[in-house]
Amino acid sequence: MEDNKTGFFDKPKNIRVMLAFFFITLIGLVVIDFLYIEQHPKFVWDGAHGFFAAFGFAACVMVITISKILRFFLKREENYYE
Amino acid sequence: MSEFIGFPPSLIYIFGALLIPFLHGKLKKAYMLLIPVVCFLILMNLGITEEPEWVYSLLTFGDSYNIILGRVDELSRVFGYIFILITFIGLIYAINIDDDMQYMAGLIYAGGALGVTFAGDLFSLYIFWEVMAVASTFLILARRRKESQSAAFRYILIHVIGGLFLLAGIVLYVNEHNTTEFCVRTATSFLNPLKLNSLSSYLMFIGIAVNAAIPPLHGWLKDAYPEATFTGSVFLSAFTTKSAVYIMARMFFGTEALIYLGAFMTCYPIFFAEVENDMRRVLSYSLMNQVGFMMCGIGIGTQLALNGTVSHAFAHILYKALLFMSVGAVLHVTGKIKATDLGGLYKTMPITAFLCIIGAMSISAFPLTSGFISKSMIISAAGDSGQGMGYSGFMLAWLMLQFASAGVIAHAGIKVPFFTFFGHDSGLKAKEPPKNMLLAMGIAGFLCIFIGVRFDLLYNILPFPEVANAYVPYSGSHVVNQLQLLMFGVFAFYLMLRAGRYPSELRAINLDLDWFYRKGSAIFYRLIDFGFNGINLVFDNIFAKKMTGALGEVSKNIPARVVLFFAIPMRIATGINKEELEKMKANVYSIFEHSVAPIGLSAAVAGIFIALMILISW
Repeated sequence: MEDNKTGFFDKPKNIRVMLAFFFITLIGLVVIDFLYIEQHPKFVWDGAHGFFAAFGFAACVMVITISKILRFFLKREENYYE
Repeated sequence: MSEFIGFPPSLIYIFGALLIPFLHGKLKKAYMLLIPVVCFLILMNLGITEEPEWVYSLLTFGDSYNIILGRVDELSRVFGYIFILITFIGLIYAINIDDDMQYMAGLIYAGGALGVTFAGDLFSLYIFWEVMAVASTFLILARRRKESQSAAFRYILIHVIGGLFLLAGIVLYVNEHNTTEFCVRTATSFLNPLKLNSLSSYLMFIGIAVNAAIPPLHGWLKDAYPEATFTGSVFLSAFTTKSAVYIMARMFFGTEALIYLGAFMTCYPIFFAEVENDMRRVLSYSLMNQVGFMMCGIGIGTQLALNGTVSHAFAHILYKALLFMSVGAVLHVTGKIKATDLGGLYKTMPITAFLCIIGAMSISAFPLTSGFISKSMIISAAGDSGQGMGYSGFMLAWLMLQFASAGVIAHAGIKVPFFTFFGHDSGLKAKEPPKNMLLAMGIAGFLCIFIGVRFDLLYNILPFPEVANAYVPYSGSHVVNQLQLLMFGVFAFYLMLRAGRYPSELRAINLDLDWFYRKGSAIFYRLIDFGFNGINLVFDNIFAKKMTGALGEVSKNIPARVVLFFAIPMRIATGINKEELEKMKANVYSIFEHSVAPIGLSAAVAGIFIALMILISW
């Protein structure tokens, strides 16, 4: 009966609560950056507050998009090498 | 003290492994776990030695070459510690599999890595290098499946080729420098790297790059590691690439090409990992990504960068082993390893899931984990160098490293735990793995957090402790910036997943450069078959059929020709017409054909021949 057990993430309420925490963290990180953090930039661009938030978001979107394109060309059947 | 340090750890491992088949039950388990403990104590007791320990003299043809098994200095000692630590954890993880072949292969393999680490001469370096290649192959073979056997065969083939590059470089090096010792400590520094400027250095560089899996020489890693046994991949993930990192740092510290090779190496595998279905192959790609950071650090060549490289290798071995152990546990319990088959296992394997998340957070370099306090040093070093060079120097490298850092969260940080333990419920019947496996994962997980918090302990054993201790990983901007990078990466993942833009899990494989020797080799074989057999045919025609006949004809008449060669000019000088000349020619040929030449003439010809030979060989 193990696999019929309702897990923590099967309850929509739990997911809602976690997502709420997640979004608060996101907003909090940017707010703290603007209010309290003194940046020590190494280059011209990375001193801007929120730079790393934008960079991280853009980078992950890029990674996911490029890898989808890559898969379009490189995907083969599982038994391709056999 | 000197009595206690009697044996080099590498030899204790290798010869200790040979006793394993003779022991049984609890005694065997205790014995195996004792080996790393003893070696750890030896290493601690030894400390850093200015002069290498365990130096043996090898006499060959009057030249004396030193075999140095104990160069324990600021750089090698920390690698020694982590290699020994990870064998201990790996052995606990594997203690119940009861497969002597894997135990022996694992220990000999680890012994080879220790040998490479402490080798002070190229001869023993090469021997241990090959010991590693051969022993590690058995960890792949031990899975005893057809796919694993072919993968193991390809694996050893690539490593033999890589080893030959190293050997060729070593031979040239010894020839040039007349010594087998390399990068010997100078009065001012323990580091004395080579320059990448001679043929010998290029050959050694390529040999090491094969083991470090620097693209385009990386195909073996993603090909073979996912085919190893679930315990074997834990060992594999630790030794081959990291000992290559060590030797690269030792030999080619500050080689600028490594900055760009390394930066490229951090980015390249991310895309492949993102769309890979086999979880251990995802981890193999992410292993490459992490080694890329280390290569970049070696290339940057500052003290901070070397500290970053070494501490990152240390931290990486722990969290990568933890990740391989947790997905290995899933494979062991469920028999499945593909994202398409897995999901929802947090219900039945909560402890494994929790430890996997710790590993995933460490590799993503969340603050308070080991990845954060090590990787940030390398990236800072890339930034620092940029500043000195008027905002241009390593700007590109810095951007690539940051991009790759964000990429880690996408492919290893989220993908591995999410699709294994969460995501869609696979309905697989699973349970927690045996206690010893949980214990091994627990130790690794604890160390990931412990190092993240008590980073000063790791910083103290780095090559440049003062520089490391002056470095502040937990500054406000560092922490917030890194958290922004990661959390907004997660946010992107979340949005893409909800929008259905995330690459769905598919039962499929993706081509990578190993195609060239897996599929390409068949085409290559046909080309070679056509090419070489074609050449063969042509040569057979020219040499075997036509030329031998012609040669026979020529050599048959050689004495006559030699005589004519001297006689004709003489006769022409003394005045002779064409008709008489032809008659003389026919006469001379006839004499030699019937062997009726006067003995004096034959002797003269033979004499000229001998004289000619002596002149030529003068």
